[in-house]
Amino acid sequence: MGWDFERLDEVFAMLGQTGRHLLLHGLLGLLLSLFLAACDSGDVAVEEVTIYTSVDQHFSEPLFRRFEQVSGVRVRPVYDIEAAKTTGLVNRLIGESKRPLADVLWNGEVSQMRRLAEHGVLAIYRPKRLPEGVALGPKGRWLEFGGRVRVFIINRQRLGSRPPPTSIVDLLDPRWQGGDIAIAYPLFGTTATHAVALAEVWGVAPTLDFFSQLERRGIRFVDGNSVVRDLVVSARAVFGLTDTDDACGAVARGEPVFATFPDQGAEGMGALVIPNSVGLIEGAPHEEAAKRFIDFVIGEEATALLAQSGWLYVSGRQVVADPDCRLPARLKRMSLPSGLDAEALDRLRRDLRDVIVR
Amino acid sequence: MPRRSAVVKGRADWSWVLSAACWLVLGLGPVVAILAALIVEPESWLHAGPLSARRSWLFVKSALLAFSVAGAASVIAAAAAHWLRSQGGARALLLWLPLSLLTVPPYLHAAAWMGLADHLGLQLSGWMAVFVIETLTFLPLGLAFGLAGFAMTDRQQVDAGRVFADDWRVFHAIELPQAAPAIGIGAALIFILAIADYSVPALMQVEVYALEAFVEYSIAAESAASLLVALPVLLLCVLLLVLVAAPMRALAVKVSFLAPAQRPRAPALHRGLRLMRSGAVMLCLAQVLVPVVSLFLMTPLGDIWVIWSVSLREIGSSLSTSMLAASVSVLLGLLLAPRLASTGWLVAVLLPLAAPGSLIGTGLIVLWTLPGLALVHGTVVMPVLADVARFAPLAILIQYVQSKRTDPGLIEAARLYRGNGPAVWLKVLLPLRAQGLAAGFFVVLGLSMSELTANLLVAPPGAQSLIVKIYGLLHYGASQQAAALCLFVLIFSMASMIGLLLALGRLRAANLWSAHGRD
Repeated sequence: MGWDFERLDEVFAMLGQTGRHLLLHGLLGLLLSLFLAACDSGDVAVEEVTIYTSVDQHFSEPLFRRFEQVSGVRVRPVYDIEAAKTTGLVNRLIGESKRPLADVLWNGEVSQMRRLAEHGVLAIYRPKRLPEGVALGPKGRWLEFGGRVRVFIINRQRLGSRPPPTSIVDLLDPRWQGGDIAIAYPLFGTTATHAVALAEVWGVAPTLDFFSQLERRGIRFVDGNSVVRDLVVSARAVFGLTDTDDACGAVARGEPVFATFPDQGAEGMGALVIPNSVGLIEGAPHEEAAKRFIDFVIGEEATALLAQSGWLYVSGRQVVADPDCRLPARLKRMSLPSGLDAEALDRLRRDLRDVIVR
Repeated sequence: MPRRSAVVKGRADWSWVLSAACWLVLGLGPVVAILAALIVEPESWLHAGPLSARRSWLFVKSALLAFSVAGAASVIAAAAAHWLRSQGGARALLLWLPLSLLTVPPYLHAAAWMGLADHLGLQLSGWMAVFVIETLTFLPLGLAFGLAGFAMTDRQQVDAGRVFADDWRVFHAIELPQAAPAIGIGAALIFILAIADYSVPALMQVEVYALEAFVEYSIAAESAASLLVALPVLLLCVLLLVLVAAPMRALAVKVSFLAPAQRPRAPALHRGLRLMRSGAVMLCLAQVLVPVVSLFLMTPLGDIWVIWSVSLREIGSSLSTSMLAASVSVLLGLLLAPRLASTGWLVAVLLPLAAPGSLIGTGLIVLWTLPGLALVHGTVVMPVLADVARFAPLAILIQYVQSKRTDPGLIEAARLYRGNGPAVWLKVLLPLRAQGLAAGFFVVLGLSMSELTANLLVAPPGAQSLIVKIYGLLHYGASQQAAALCLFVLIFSMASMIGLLLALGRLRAANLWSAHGRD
């Protein structure tokens, strides 16, 4: 019974010390080879598409399943998380540009697309038919569709009988303590996009001054829009600035909060709408399947699905969201002159970093 | 004789080259790749920005915070560990529970404590709040190293000391110096984790240097630039590890190999010290109970099977990746642990430990998309490589410490009678090193299960990890589902720990405190 160690000893003695070291290293190599063998587990007969997305899995996964049903193409998703501020996937795409794995990037916003285009990550793709409300990005490197809206999320109990905030500039209103208000760092995600939009409307210097005043007031700059939502839901802040998907999700779950659009008055600049964007990756391994997915995600069925799930709030000029969020049916949008060039945007981000992170 | 020496030397060099090649690829590869990118693209230096007075002051404040957290967590944990090791029966076994919390992300620890503070009407914010929450968050880690440290004390020396001096003097002069290396390693590790974490400070409205490095990574989209910003942290961590590792190496060899497998007698200490130990134990227990109870309260237990079953793919992906990473790390430990006697090797092995996860991930992409190496990129090997690069140094270090505590006489005797064949390996070497192998495996397994930043960059399409799903659910606000999945991680960690103890035949509480088990 058991191993005959003595016989094994004889064999090993013949190998010598170098042989034994080689054997040990060989075993390590064998283990790695097994991993390699495990890598190619895909069914080659099935057409597939690799989609990198910063859209929450909760919203994007049902859409992928639907696309698989209608197209027969298997989706291999890579998700981003808010903690990585979308930059996880963007930096990954830049790193992989010499040997791309991804076929499509479906982004929950647009600000990172310009950077990817500059790095040559995005290919030109113009669908044969552009549905209403879908816009081509510069040089056709990406498509913009649908949109989320920047909103105030407000805790009913903490607000009490006070009138709610109605404008972005209310963040500077002395009737609120700094700690009453929460916004995400304007260096990442949709809050960064919002800061850029403000700079386009107000100018760079007034925008930097605005954020500088917020910082001096002790406004709570937090790690992301979901943290803003959580702070307001738990009544640790009276109100905060976030996106419709975060705010409406909390409202739908019956939390003691409500949402409002900022700057809707006659003189107000309107609420910022942040469209989704989708782009074909340069050198995509599955280009045809990628184009089919892009055509699908900008189409009517996908828009309806995403609106129903709470991800999209508007499509083109229409409000398409589920009424559960109880936001006004009419929306005054912020109009952007698109006056900032790439260099100015980079400088703004760096200046904001110096204003906020200190 | 000279000819024979030359032959032996030649063989040793061959083995050295193989070991170095293994570590250069698996451990140092990502960092070297980023450094190479820095040399190839020197313009990245310009994007990083200068180490301004503001940035310097932020670095100093963050380092002080991390030092304070590491110091406080290690002192409290050591005090608790000292009491725990004198306890027997179920109490002793239960107090290994904190170790299973190692895999719960800091964000959840913080959320649990913030929930409690809210309940009590307290507002947590500012540097003091970060200090308290991070100290509590890292207590389990400190406790693990505290227990390991006191398990290394020589019972014969302690008993002999007690004949001539009071318990406090024995504790101060014998026990603490012998436990200090392990406690010091724990403190160094806590420092590294604390200085790299910005999630808890962000929740408490505190800006730290780690956020600065991440902001640079986000704004520049150039890893080389963010490496430059992270460089002060990297250098400080390496310096700290080297400082801690040197006395550890010297002291580890002084430990006697003849210690009995007995639980030590409870020492008679001053009342104040006894109170301090009791307080430390209470804090450790609270740190276990608050997250666990809060996880159970948040989890919809009626739907738990449904939540787990729809996440089977992510669970399987994380488990297989973590187990493979732990296996490779343990094998690397067998190869490289004996080399840590050299300071050069020590620094080379510990260096990746101080590199931020995002840099490891990007470095892996750079390395494995090079011509001729691209086979691995985009496969399930990449997250394994990420976990190995990040955590294998710990497995190697643990095995090194363990090998120092192995009686060389036993190995010499075995080799004298059996040569260097598999019988010696299987019947003598591996059993003697089983604890180190198991501890290294478990530590890497646990940390890999919750590794996020590097895996996010290298996970193959369609193979999402459990931790990414948990963070996604937290973002969406589905805290109940996230809690259910965290509970799975917790139960898995506990089960694997108990399984390891059973496998080692060391479930009996009395044996848990022995460094030598069946000696």
